[in-house]
Amino acid sequence: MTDVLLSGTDLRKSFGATPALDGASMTVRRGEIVAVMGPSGSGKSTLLHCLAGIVAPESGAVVFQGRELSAMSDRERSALRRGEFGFVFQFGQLVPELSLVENVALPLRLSGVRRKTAESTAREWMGRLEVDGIADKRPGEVSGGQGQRVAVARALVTGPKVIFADEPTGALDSLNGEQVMRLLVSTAKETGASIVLVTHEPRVAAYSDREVVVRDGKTRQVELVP
Amino acid sequence: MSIGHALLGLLETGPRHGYDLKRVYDEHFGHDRPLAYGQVYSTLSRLLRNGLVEESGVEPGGGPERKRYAITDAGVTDVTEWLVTPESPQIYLQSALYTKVVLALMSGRSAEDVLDAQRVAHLKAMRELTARKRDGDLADQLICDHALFHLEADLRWLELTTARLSDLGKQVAS
Amino acid sequence: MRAWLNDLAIGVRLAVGGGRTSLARFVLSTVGVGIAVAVLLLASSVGPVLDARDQRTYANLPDATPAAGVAPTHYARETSEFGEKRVNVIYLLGEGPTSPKPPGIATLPGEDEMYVSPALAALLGDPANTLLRERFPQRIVGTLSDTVVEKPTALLLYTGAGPQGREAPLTAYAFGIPHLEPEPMDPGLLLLLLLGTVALLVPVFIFLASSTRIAGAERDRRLSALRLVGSDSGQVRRIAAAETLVGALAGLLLGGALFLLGREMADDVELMNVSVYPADIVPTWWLAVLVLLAVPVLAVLTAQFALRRTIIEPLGVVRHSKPVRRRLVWRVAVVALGVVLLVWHGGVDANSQLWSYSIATGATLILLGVPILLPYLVEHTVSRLRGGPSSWQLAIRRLQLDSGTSARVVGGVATVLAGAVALQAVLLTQAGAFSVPDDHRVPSDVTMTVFAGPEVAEEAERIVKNAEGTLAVSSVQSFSVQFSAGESSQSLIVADCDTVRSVYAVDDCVDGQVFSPHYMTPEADGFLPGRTVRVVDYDGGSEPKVLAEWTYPASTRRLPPATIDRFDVGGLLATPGALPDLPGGYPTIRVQLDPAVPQAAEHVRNALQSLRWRAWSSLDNAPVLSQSQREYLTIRRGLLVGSVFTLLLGGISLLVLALEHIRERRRPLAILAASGVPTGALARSLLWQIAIPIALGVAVAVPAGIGLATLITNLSADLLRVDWPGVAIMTAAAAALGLLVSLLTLPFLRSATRLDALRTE
Repeated sequence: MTDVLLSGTDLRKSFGATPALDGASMTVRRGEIVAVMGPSGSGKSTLLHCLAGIVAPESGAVVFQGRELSAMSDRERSALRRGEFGFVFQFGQLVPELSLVENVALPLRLSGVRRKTAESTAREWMGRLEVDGIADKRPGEVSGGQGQRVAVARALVTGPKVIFADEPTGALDSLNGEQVMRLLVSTAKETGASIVLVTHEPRVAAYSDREVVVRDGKTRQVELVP
Repeated sequence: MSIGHALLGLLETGPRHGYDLKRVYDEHFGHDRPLAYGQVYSTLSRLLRNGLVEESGVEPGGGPERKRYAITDAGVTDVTEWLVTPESPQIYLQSALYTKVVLALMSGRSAEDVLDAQRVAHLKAMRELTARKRDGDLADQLICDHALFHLEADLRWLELTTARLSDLGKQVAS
Repeated sequence: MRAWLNDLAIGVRLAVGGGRTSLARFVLSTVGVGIAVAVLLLASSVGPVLDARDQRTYANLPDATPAAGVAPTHYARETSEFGEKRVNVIYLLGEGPTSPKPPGIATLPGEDEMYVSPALAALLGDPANTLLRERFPQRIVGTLSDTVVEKPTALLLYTGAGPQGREAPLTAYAFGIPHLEPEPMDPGLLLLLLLGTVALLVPVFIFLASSTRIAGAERDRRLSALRLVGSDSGQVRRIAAAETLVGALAGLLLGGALFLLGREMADDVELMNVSVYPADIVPTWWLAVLVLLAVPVLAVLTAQFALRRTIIEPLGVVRHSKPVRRRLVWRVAVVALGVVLLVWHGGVDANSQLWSYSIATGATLILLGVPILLPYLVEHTVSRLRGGPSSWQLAIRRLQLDSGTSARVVGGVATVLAGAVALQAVLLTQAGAFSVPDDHRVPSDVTMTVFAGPEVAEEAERIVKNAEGTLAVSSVQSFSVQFSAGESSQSLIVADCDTVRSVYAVDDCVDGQVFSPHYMTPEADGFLPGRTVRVVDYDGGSEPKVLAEWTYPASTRRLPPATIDRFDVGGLLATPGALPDLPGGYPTIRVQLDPAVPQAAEHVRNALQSLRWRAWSSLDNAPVLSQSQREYLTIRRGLLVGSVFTLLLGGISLLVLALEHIRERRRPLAILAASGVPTGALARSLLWQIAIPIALGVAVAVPAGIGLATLITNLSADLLRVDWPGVAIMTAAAAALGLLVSLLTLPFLRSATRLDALRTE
């Protein structure tokens, strides 16, 4: 298979006695949107965490652009999360103390970009996600949908290659969820970023190009009927 | 769905030619099944007979296709009544999907396989609808969402059934 | 380097200006650190305050070393009591225009003039004190400035001595003597002082550490969100460091401001006979620098220590791993080391200063053991608790999840308690060693002793007899007896049988008898019948003047113990017939005051004032103390003041903790309230959450304190005395503190459980 950007092979991970991943594998190609589906507790999120280098699997390998994540130092993995990856979670990923524009600028600032530059880039992205009007508010002062769009802006601000989205619409109503998905997918397509989209909602998964099903910690690769 | 009511509703925004009506109807509601001309005219003549529409003029050139129709007061009342009368919820007790799953289980085949196959098909349809929705106008979005929610409901039911059945399987096995 | 600054900037940004919640957090930690800093600065000012006081005291002392070409100033001093207050009166007479003057005085005052200290000026100006004004009717020609008066409340008076001044006991050729290097402190006292300092400062540091760890859970969440966005562990550490640093620095500023403010108010405060000039309250520079450095460093270190787990788990938000079980081993090791230091003092010479330091280190370790053991104890106790009413269950479950914070803060209070129990037991035991009379004085305002020089003895007796308020007067003479030159001496009091009968209730007194108090065994001290001893008079000088030789009589009678308490003889008591003829010794006149006359004592003193420095009086309830005894009392007073302060500080930190707890758990509390849990149950659960750690704290502190006291008193082979009611009172105070804090949090709980609290994100 050509153009594989990120792959996880035979990943295993357990929390205490309960196995969360029990031999899961998946690949993500460049520019591709892959939905990870499955019932609650099936290991979807853990799979995403492993692929993103947040959680180290007990066995198996995660390879991003030819480099194995487990061989990297914490510093390198952090740099990867900062520069090459973007994250949109269900909630809680925005820092409540910072204004929204500061939140979006955060990954840039952590990489050492000057405040002014970082914030003007952040404002640009917020414009693309139609939330530039609330840039100076704090996360507690805006609606859930607005917050999620800000989170999307933050995930995109560094021009990442992969965006990890874990139930990005989970806390939203249908309309807001649709809006967030539409903006996430269209901006990702424009920038050529891949998306790993964990969801249990088929409607959200329908935004993907392909789906991977996780059940009891195992992935079931389902080939498309031609 | 009643085509008559739909045409009346469209005429409420202003008099139209029969051809016009077909075009607007197709645009909004006819994604899967465009109306045939014959259907339009037979419906219009029924509405005419019942006094719900009237002819409001003929374009030069003659012929039935150049006639303009307008809604009458009785027609407006009729549309209003139709809109506020709730649709009886459709209850799918006889769907093919249900039959398949039950048969798969009864015959000892894997319900998961049925599910996965169905998911692929459903998601494929949903993807197409989603793509159409992304590029379409509000009306497109509404109709696609309607279909999407129904498809999603199917899938969710399948997921739930499978989860229940695998639990049942475990119970039997233990 | 720029990247570092960048990280620090993000941390600073997170600490300040982050909306209401982060503002509340910032204020709480700033106030906490501020109070601790103010206390530390105050503690580091104690040395300079004492130094400044000494300096002024020494500058005022006359230098009797003759200097050529200086016409000396005659100098006599007298302490005149007025009620509970003591006025230092100094009489001066210059021989010529060049005669030296004490600091702060422009010209030597005449007999009808006086310079007074500000406090005395105020006292004289008070219309309620007309008797004092009558005693000192001289014209006030000047008020002494702060720079020459020992302390703000000091009552000091300079007046002219007149021609009589030539007989004054001292002749000054200059004022101000070099600051004598203080003698090394008695090791016992030093130990007491070190122990007290440790007991008082350990809680301050605990408080400091817990203040910088306020809202730990919130901070962990925030930092793991940062981790997620891709900050590496180093960056997160730096950001967290900058964040706490901001609080610590703001706390330093606030602490400095509080310190300066408190300093200004020091003028008006007199606490347990201690008063201080604001200008004197200047921290020792190196201690101040130490505080300035230690506070931020400590803040950053605690923050880093608290980060241990967040670093490993960037998804702290998502998955709560079970908290690490606390380990017992190192905690016990600290205490054990302390015990070892106390039991085996490493061959260090007992009662040397080094010994004191080694003991103090051991004691410090044992006291530190209290806050170190407490979290372990709380954790293991609550993990075993089950059942109970729902408020109890809520509290227990909460403590099971996170007992660290409350245990840490309660640790501060428990340390104060342990320190106080230990100190108090050691104090009580040492009180025996220093044999300080009990503080509860016998209310014998009715007898007064007047001392007068031999030349004015008769006059004094006459004056006192005629004074208003005098009921009866009896007189005894004081001498000393010595076996041979250079040997120590014993006191000898000569009184006639009338006095012996009336004062000592010896009804069958016959002239020629000798008496001894019950606590003295004359034979054991060498007073054997027929032995020849010398009766001497010290007369203020160091070389005694031999007045007569005396053959010790064959028998000595015993004075009834009950009467000694009223008028101690301090040695032998002889009737004149038992002794050879003696020139007038130092007479002691005992005055019985008339309880019917208000301020009888003041009238007698006023009458005696005409004799000026040649006679002085003291009410018999005022004990005369030695230097060590005075030091001991000063230390005891200081420790008590400090304990009150620290306990208060502990209370404040408990309050801060409780408020922080409510703030952090606003939403769960609101949900509980919304689902019908009565506020009362929530309040009780908060109370339990404070009460359980406090109860355990007391359970650790009291044995620790008593154990420590036992170990220390064992060293000096004293018998341990524990003031159980005192322990009970302190324990009750700690419990009351917990209850009070819970009560104070109630309004905040109410506002947190209003249903609109649910709305906030």
